[in-house]
Amino acid sequence: MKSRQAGTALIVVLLLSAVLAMLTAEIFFSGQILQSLQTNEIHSKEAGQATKFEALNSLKENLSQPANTRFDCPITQHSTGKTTIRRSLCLTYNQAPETLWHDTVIDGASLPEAHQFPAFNYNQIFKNSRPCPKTAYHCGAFTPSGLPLSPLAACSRFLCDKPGSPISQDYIVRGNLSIAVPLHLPHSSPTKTIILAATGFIDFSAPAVFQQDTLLIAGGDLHISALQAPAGINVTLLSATGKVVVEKLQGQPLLKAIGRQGVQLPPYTSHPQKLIPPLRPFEIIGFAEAQ
Amino acid sequence: MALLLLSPALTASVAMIHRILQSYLTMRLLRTETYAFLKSAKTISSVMEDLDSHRFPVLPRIHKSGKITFTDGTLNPVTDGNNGSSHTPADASDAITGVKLDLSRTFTVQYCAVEDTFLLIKACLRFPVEFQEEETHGFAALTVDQLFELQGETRGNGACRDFVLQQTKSMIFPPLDEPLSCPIAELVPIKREYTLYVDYKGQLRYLGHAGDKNLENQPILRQVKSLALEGALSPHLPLMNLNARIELFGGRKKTFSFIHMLGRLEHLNFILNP
Repeated sequence: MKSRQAGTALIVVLLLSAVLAMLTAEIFFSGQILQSLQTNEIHSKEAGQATKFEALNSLKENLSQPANTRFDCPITQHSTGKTTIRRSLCLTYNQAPETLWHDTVIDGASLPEAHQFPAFNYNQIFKNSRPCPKTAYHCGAFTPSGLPLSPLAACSRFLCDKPGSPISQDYIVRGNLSIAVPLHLPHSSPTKTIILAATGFIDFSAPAVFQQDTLLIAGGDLHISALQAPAGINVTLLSATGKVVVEKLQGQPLLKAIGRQGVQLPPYTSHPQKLIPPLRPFEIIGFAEAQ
Repeated sequence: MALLLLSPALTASVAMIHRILQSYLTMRLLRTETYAFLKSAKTISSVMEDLDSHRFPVLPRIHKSGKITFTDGTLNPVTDGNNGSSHTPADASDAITGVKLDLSRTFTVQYCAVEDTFLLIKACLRFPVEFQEEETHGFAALTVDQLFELQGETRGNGACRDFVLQQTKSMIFPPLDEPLSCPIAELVPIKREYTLYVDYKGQLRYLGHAGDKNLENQPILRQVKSLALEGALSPHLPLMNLNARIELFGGRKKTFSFIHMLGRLEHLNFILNP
């Protein structure tokens, strides 16, 4: 009887010890799992951040040389020993040859490669835009003055047709700009270049007179019925996605015209001119999954 | 007598057992809570990861107090507690909507026409890459005026395709301020558009969207009582900072901060330099 009790007690003690051992083991392993969870998280976070930093840092070296491609997503890889992360950083590059800047006319339609059309920094230009009296506009085949619009050229759903006050300084708007009354930009400062810009088309259906250096920048088509400027004044016309059309030219300005879908100018004597909008040599467009 | 002699040993054993049990329970709770905090923080950080898939000023949207809405202000059906779903968001918890775009697979529009409420578009891949339609949940349409969401079908294969697209409510892109019209410059595939929220049963959930439709609603993690989210653009840099306070059942709270790496830029450079 005594030996039976002793046996039962022994089993109870053994069971209890087993349970205690299991609990102790569980505590030990929980501690390890906890440590591993935190370590993995730290490693994964570190690798993720480091890959992004490395991708951005590697650009410094790559961008010092001219790009031979229009688009690239170089892969960066970072390993912390436990975790390896790969990422692609995608960029677009300006592919316009430098020799193009000496030309007074850059006609995108006649370039050997469409991608050789220069890339400009439109974000910088339109950062300084100001409100204009806007009306809703339905982009069709023609401007309000009847000028045919180039297919695929940028066109806004808004029309700025009546500037609140006479234009005498930079006039940069988000919308189409259609001016049917004569525009006379007075001479205000010899060193200042006046910028007239619109994200959609620009249509001056009445004569436009420029008395000082002027940059005219249209997201879509750029049409001027009559452009007048004295000799020696720089006037640069840019259409980002459409055509540049000037019907009449008076005076002898130093003219440069840049149009993605074409440039139509009356006959004139061309002279070298260096007034160009800010360029966009490259742009990071975003991180992507490494392929 | 033997019991008397053994009593100190027994008392010590019971105390040890109690201590071990207590440690076991504490460790178990700590493990579960740490896992819950790390997993939910990692899930929320994916919203900021996805923000770096593009540079447009389309920031994650924070929905306050369980009211998950479209950008036009109407409620997402998941918020409607009367729809019989057990996945209704918890009133005391915030939610966040994010989007991942695939800019490398942008389509440049070659032709665009409006027919009734549809846009008929022909567009070609802008960069030399392959396009997989099944990995796309709609398109972000880019015009000189704004970005908005379109849903519909793609026809054909190869680099140039036909699209039949329709305007839709969106969880993240601003609503169109004018009726749908052409021209549209670019179509950017949406890889995923989703909302992370906590339901009233305390489950962190992933709600996938395609325009006004909820495509999927997956549980990610139990034990989350609520999320308190605050996000804002930094005053000096074009970067968004997101603070997330995660509260678990049991009362433990932790705050995590997230920031992404690529500054926001307007989309004009992207569409006017095609």
